[in-house]
Amino acid sequence: MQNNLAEEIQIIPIILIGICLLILMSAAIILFFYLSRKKIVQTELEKATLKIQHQKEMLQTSLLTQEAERKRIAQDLHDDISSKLNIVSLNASLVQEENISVQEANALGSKIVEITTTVLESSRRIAHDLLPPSLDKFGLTAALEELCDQVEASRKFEVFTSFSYEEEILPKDQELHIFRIVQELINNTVKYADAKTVSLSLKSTQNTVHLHYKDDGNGFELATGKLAKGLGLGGIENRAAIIGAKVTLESQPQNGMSLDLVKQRN
Amino acid sequence: MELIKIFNNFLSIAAIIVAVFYSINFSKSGKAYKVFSCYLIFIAGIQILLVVYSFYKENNLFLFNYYFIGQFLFMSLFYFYLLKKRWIWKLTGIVMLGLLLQYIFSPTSFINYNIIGVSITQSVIVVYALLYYYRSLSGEAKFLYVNTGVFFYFISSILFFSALNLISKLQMPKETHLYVGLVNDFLYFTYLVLIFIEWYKNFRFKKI
Repeated sequence: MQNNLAEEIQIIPIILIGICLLILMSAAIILFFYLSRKKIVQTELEKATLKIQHQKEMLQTSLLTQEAERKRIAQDLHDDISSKLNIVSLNASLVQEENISVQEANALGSKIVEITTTVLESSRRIAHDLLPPSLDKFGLTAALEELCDQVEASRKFEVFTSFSYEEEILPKDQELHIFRIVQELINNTVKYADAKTVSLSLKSTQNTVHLHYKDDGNGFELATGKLAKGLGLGGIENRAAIIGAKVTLESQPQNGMSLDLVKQRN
Repeated sequence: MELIKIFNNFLSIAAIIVAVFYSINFSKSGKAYKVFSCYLIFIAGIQILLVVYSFYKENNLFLFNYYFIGQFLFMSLFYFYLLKKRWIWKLTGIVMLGLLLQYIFSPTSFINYNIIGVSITQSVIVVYALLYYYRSLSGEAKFLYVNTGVFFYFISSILFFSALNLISKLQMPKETHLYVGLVNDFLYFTYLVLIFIEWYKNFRFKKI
C-alpha cells in the first residue's frame, strides 16, 4: 500500500512537468507570433512611409510644373499680347486726335490692323500650346502627327513615326496625358539631346496601349537625370502614374534615350 | 492551505469583476465583444454555482460538463465572428454530435470529469486561437490580448484537465490536490489578467 502510494504520487511531478512544458511551448509560440507581427507591421509602416514620400514628391513635381507653365503663359501673354495691344491702344488714341491728316490716319489704321493680326496669331498659338485643337477634333494620332510635323519643320532632327492606334480606345483625359508626355519628351530632345533622329510609335491592341520614344542624342545618367528637375521626367512619371501606365526609361551618356510606356486597359 | 482557499475565492471574485467590466459597454459593442461578454458572464455564473454547491457540500462535478460545453460554444461563436469562417459551425456541430454520442453511450461521463470532451473542445479552441494569430499577422486585429490569454490558458491547462480523473483517484492527501490545483489557478489568473488588460486598453471608453 505504501509502495503503491509512492508510485502514484510520482505521477504528480510528471503531470506538473508536462504542464510546464506546455506553458513553455505556448509562450514560445506567442513570442514567435508577437515578434513576427511586430516585424511585419514595421515593414508595412516603412512601405507606407515610402509611398507617402513618393506621393509628396509627385505632388511637388506637379506643383512645380504647374508653376512653370503659369510662368510661361504669363510671359507669352505679356510679350505677345499685352505689349502689342498697348501699341494698338496708343495708335488708336492717336487716330482720335483732331489735327491728324487722312494719310496719317490711314497709316495708323493699317498699323493697327497689322498688329491686331499678329496679336490674333499669337493668341491662337498660345491657345494651341495650351491645348492643341487637333487633339480634340481629330484625335491623338492626328495631334501627335501635327506635333512631329512642327518639330520636323524646325529642321532640328528627323522624326520617324509609326502609329497604329485605335482612336478613343483610351478616355480623352488619358490621351491628353500621353500627348503631354510626348510633348515633354520632344521638348527634352530639342533642349538637351542634340539628336539627329527621333522615332515615335504608338500602338494599341485589345488590352494594351504601347508608346515608344527613342532619340539618338546625348543621353544622360539615369540616376542624375531623374533628379534633374529641368528634364521633366518627374512630370512624365506623374502623368504615367495618373493613367496607371508602366514607364521604362533607358539612357546612357552619348547613347541617346528611350522610353516605353505600357498602359493595360483592364 | 488557507492562502490557497483565499486565492481560489479571489479568482471567483475576479472572474465576476471582469464579467461586470465587460458588461459596461455591452450595448454599444460589436458582435464578437458581446459574445465574449456573455462567455465571461457564463463563466462567472458557473463560478458562483461552484461556490454555492461546495458551501452546501453538494456534488458539483456535473457543473464541469456545463462549463466546458458552454465555453466551447461561446468560444466557437466568438472566433466565428473574428475569423468569419463557415467551417467553424461545421466543426462545432461535429464536436457537439460526438459529445452527445459520448453522453448517450456512456452516461457516467456526465458525473465524472469528461477528460476526452474537455481535451477535444480545448484543442479546437486552441486551433481557432492559432488561426486568429496567423490572421493578425497581416494587419490590425482586435482582441489580441484575449487571444493570447485563450491560447496560453487553453493549451497549458489541457494536461491539467485531462489528468483530473487520475488525480482524483489517487490516494493523496487533500493538500496535494490543492497544490496541483494551484498550477491551474495561476494559469487561470494569467488568463483573467490578459482579459482585463484587453478591456482596460481597448474597450474601457471606446465604442466598439
